[in-house]
Amino acid sequence: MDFQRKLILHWACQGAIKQSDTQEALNISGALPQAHQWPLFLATLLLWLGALAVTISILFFFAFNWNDMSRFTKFGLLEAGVFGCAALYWFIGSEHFLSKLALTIGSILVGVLLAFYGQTYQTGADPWQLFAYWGLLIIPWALLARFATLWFLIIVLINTALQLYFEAYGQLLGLGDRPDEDVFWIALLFNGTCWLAWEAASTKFTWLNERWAPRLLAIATAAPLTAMFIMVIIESIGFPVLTVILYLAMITLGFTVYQKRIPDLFMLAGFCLSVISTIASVVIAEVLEHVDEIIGFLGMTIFLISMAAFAANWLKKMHQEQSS
Amino acid sequence: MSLQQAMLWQKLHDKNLTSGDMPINKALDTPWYVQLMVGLVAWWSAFFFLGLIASALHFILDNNAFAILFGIMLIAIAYRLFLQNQVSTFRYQFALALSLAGQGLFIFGLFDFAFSHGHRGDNQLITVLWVLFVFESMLAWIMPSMIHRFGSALAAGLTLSFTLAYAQLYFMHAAILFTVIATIWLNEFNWVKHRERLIPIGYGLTIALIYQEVMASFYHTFIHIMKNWLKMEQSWLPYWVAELLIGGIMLWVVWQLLQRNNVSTRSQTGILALFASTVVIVLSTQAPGLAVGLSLIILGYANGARMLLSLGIVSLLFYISSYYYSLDMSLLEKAQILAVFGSILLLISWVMSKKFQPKQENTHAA
Repeated sequence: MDFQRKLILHWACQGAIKQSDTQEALNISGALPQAHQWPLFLATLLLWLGALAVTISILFFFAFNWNDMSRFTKFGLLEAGVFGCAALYWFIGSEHFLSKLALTIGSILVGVLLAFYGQTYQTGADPWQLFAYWGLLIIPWALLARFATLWFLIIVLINTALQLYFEAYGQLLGLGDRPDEDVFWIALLFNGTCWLAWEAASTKFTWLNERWAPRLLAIATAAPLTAMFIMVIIESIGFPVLTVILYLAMITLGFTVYQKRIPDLFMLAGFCLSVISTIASVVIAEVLEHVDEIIGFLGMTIFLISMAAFAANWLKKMHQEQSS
Repeated sequence: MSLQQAMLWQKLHDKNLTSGDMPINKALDTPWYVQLMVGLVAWWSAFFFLGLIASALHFILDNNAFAILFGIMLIAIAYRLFLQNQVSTFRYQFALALSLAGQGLFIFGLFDFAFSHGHRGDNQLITVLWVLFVFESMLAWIMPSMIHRFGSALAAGLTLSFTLAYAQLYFMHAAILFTVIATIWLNEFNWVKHRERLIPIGYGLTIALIYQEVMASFYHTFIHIMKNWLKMEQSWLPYWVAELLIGGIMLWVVWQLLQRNNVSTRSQTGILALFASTVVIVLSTQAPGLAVGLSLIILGYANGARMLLSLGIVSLLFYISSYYYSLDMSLLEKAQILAVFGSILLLISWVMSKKFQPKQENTHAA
């Protein structure tokens, strides 16, 4: 529908469809909702909104009375919530979207329950343990639900656990001599692994075939790797050889895979931004200090515009190839 | 030409809606993330360009008249570059950077001119803000660049917010913005030849409106900041009046969409739609942002504009989150309002599904 809409509007702008006929053309193509579709849409919209409002009102109500409730009441409420979501999944059936949503909400409530448990009994557990156990406990549900959002939630939880562990102990798996860089390494190694695993798994499990997840994982991997690469160039710190190898491998593989194998313009645009950032940083660090200030500013302006123009032209060409 | 395109063209041709040959396929609407990447680098280069001006032509910054004139000159050059060559991305980027640098100089010169004698009065500030608003509005209209129009429209919307706030008309600009936004989206297909200009402006103003409604959620906090930090006077217009005005516009939107779908306002459907809208409007006086969010969703769905629909959904989620942190009411009061509101919406939803389900089933059976 989005494709037809864009095409028809493009033809109308070109004059191939009269302005007065545009809406009719859109109606015929099915790009716009028909009259009989509106009641269902509005009923669904109001249903979701009403359910959300009632749910949040319940949360607000409990938040207001929280201090006055006994701890067993609080535990009971949370456990009832977890159980209720599981029961809802069982009643509705595994293939329905609502049942997957119910398990996701239940998974979130598991975390709330763990947090409340730690707060009530003062077990002395570290914050990282909460997120780690939370992530591990909901894995069986993620396997059952076959829902991409739930798996992404687990990745976020493990990410958080790793970061908190590193903050608490200052080292992880032998890393730790340079805390400023090692926190990037942790994010890079874990998210990079998840990214590769997700792309590989999505070829086998179609329910994982949602582009938003690997895109977010790519950002979580490429951003720290780009930052480290720039730090290696500017300050010559870190593990220069390993960083350079990993960065070049990411760029090379990324451009190859997302151009031919798994066409994804978003990824290509991200890699372009990364390459522009690194080259610009090299130029600023290595060239600008040796030239006059005015020439330096002028040079950087022209350089950045040229890089952006080159990247934009190439991406437009890729977009045309992928659209045709 | 893909098979899908050819089939669509043929379908429209059979209904006599097309004329001439099918236009040659070229890259349609560059995706937003490519535009974003290009925009980010353009900004980066604009900062270096401003640095160049500061280094080489520092006398321009010493004289605010020169700064204003030079800024306008850069924008004029950018305009010519945009017009001259819409295919060359290099020139497009350079023009964008020039315009951004020019706007920076203009704003610097304007503020320096207004406050150069050490005196800062509210009337002077309001005048400067009005000038800025007109300036950005003109740029949004004139400059032939999607990114530029979006950015200028967003800047104009935000400037209007501050301008009316200083003029003791807090939150009024939301009603003004919403009128413009609704007009653009309702006429997207009637004014299709102007959509390259109007759609980026529409999105820029939509983002500004969403921001404004979030501020309305933090009404008392916002008023506190205005009075104690920015030394503004008390508004003579309570925000719920602005919400009611927005509600009036929402009713207009619903009425227009009923007309578009040939549904009479006197029919059961029409009455139900208007009644549901009225309920939402009343609730919106207690839960700011509700009417705007729902209107954006409805407009997005009506026009098949997924980005607008998504913005509406995101804005509603954002308002609900900010509602929790709002200090205007206790959690209990908020819980009561949301419970009543949610129940009413569920009831309307149930009535609608009951009313329309049997007809659809009969239609399908036939």
